[in-house]
Amino acid sequence: MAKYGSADVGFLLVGPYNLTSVSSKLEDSVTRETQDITPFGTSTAALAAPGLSKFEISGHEAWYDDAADSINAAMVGMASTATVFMMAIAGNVNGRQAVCSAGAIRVGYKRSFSVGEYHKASMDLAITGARDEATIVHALSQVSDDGNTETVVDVDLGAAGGGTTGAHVYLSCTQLALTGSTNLLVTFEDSVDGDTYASQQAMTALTTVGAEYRATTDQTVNRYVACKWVFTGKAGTPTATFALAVKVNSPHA
Amino acid sequence: MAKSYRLLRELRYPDGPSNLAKRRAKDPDVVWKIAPEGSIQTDIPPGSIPWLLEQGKIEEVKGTPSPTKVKEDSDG
Repeated sequence: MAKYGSADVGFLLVGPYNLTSVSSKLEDSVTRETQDITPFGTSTAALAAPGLSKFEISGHEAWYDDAADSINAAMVGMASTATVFMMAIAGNVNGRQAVCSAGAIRVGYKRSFSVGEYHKASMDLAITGARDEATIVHALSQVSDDGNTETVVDVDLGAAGGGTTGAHVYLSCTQLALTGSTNLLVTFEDSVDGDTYASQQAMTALTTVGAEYRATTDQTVNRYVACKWVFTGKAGTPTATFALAVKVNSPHA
Repeated sequence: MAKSYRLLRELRYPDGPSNLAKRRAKDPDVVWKIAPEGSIQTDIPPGSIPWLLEQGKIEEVKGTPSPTKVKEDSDG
C-alpha cells in the first residue's frame, strides 16, 4: 500500500477539458441511501439500505482560467448533457487508478472575485449512474503518430485480472491536430499472454477534441489490456493528447 | 506447413519471431503487425493460437486456399 498526495493527481478531466493545472481541491463522494423501517414493538431504530448509491463531485476549488480547454470553457455554458469525468488520483501512469464516470452532469459553477487575489472558479457535478474505479491504459500524454501502449507499457491486471462480464472504457482527448488526416481512431485491446492483442472495443473516431464512454461488446476481457491509435488517412504530422482508462467488470475469470 | 487462420477480430502481434520474454520485458524494438479482421494469416504466434481459437477471435481455415485462377481466353 502507498499513500498519495496532491502531487500524485495526474489529471482531472471533465469531457475534453483539462482542469488539472487550475484545480486545487475536490471531493469525490458516495452516499448510500437508507430508510427507516422501524416497526411497532421495538425499542431500537431499524435501518435498511434499499440499494441506492449516489455519487457526486463537490467542494471543487480552482483558479479562473479562460483558456479554451480549461475551467471556464468547461462550465460556463452549463451544457445539460452528461459528460465523461476522469481523475487520476495516484499518478498519470499506465496501470494506476483513475476515478471515472460517464454521467457527470454540470449542476453548479461559481466564480469569485476578491481584491488582491486571483479570480477563482469552482464547479459541482452530479453523477448519474455509476462511478468506476478504473485503470489507466493510456496516461494523458501527446502522441504524434500511430502507435500502441505496448511500446510504452501495457497493463497487466494480474493473474485474476480478466473479466467475464465486459468492461467500461473511458476516453478523453484534450487536444487534437489532424493536419489534414481524416480522424483519430482509438481502440481498446486485450490479450491473454501479453504477446498477441485482439481488438476489443473501438471508440468513435474523433475529428475534434472530445470525450466518450463505451461498454465493451465482447464480454470476455483478458488479463493484459492495451490500446492502439491510428490517424486515419494520415496527412502531415498530426498530434493528439488523450487518456484512456478501463474498468473490467466483475466477476473476474 | 503453417496452418491458416481467418481473423474474426483485428489482431496485433510482433512482426517476426515472437519472443514472449522480451515482450514482457517491454522490448522497445518490437515491430507490430496489425492484421485486419477478415484476413487470413499464417504467422500468428503459436502460443497465442489456443486462446484465440477458444475465445472465437480466429478460426482455422480448412484445406489449402485455392490459388487465384486466371480465366483462360476461350477464343481461338
